[in-house]
Amino acid sequence: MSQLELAGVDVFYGDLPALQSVDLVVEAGETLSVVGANGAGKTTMLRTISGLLRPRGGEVRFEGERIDRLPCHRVVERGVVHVPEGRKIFPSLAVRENLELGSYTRAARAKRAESLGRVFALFPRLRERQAQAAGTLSGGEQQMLAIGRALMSRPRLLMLDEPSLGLAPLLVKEIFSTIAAINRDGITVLLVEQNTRQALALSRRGYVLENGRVALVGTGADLLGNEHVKRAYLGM
Amino acid sequence: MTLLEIDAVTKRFGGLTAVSRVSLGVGAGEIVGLIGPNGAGKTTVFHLLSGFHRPTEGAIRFKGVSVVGAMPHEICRRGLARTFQIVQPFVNLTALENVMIGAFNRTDDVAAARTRALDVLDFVGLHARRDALARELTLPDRKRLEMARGLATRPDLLLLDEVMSGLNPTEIEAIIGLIRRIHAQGVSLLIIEHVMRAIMALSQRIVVLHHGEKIAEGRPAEVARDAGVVAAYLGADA
Repeated sequence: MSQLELAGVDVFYGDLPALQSVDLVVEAGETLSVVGANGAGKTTMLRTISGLLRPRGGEVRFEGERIDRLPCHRVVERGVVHVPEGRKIFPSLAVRENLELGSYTRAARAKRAESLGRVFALFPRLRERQAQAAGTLSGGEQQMLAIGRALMSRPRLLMLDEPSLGLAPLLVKEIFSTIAAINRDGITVLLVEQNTRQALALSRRGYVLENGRVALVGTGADLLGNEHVKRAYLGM
Repeated sequence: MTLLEIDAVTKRFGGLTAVSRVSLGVGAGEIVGLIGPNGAGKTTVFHLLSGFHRPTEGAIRFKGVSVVGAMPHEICRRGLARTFQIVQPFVNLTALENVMIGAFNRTDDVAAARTRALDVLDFVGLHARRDALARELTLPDRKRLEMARGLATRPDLLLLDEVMSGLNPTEIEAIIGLIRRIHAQGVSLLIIEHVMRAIMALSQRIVVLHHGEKIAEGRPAEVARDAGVVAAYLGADA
């Protein structure tokens, strides 16, 4: 049994199909990337897994149980946590308050102090700035906060939507090495990225989405060497 | 001729110095890259140039005339246009209507604005999407729309603020091609971008900001080798 399974998932926006018969599996402990053009359905897929969108057809199963009818907060309780594109932190709240809001489920609340220690160890900048309003952080620090807040929920599967968006090259490297460190701690990572090369290089396996359908599946290395991927997504 | 001259400009917000004694110029026909870490002050420089902020100290001259204190629409009429990092279209207007608003910078005539807007939409590759509402466009198309709105004002200098962010490498290649075609039409460009492959390929000169100060300036290859730039921005093995 795979940790996460999407089977024949169809999602529509009104009459417009956004995902069509999508099959995807994520194995426990792996880092998996989903790449593709803008508008291919990558963000829609993450929003469907986290319960923000309801599939019109198909099933989403986590650890063998269907989650596609659950409200978002129940999905989080199961251990599936989504770091949305654009960070969506609470700008007027302090850094520490943002982090504490990540640990609102009963199980996560019980481990709040320990989680906070782990997040601060991973992101020392957040410890230094814990009393500061989150809106005053730089773009890179805000991305760290969004990831830190997700870790406070004690995820088993962490979904990241374009964590490198708008970041300077040095910070992009830091974010990718942080993702690798999180994965080494045993957390499964589902990564959506436009930064195709770095995402696939980090990942054991990857999926290519095109027009709402899975076009290719393979190991990260295979996809990086694939002629279609090179032309369509790597600009080669 | 120096089209744009920024002379020792400082911008303070309360106790925070966002831009500190920065000087830089853009010559006619030049493409200059402006890079630096998040929070370095790059977008603040664009706000200063386009009249959204007034410098605390220093001078800004465009075509030899000060723009300090001028309203954004006046600066645009003088030939300096900009785009926004977070694209700012009128979401419930069509692509054509959005670009016509830019075209009204040079004409009061609706038919003339429409003609200009259609030309620009064709130029950026959005002609087929002219009747789509801006909110229906994909991100790469919204980036093109943002550039089209600036171009419709007939700028001599166009400021581009991260028009490649959120795009994949193939989409980036297409935007690089578009920027080259804009330049070939005689428009000078000042470009903020984190996509190094693009900024290195496009820029004749690169200026690096860090903590509001200029820490390096030079040809792309020189800047990429600069130890301070590597430490602050690129990281080792860049």
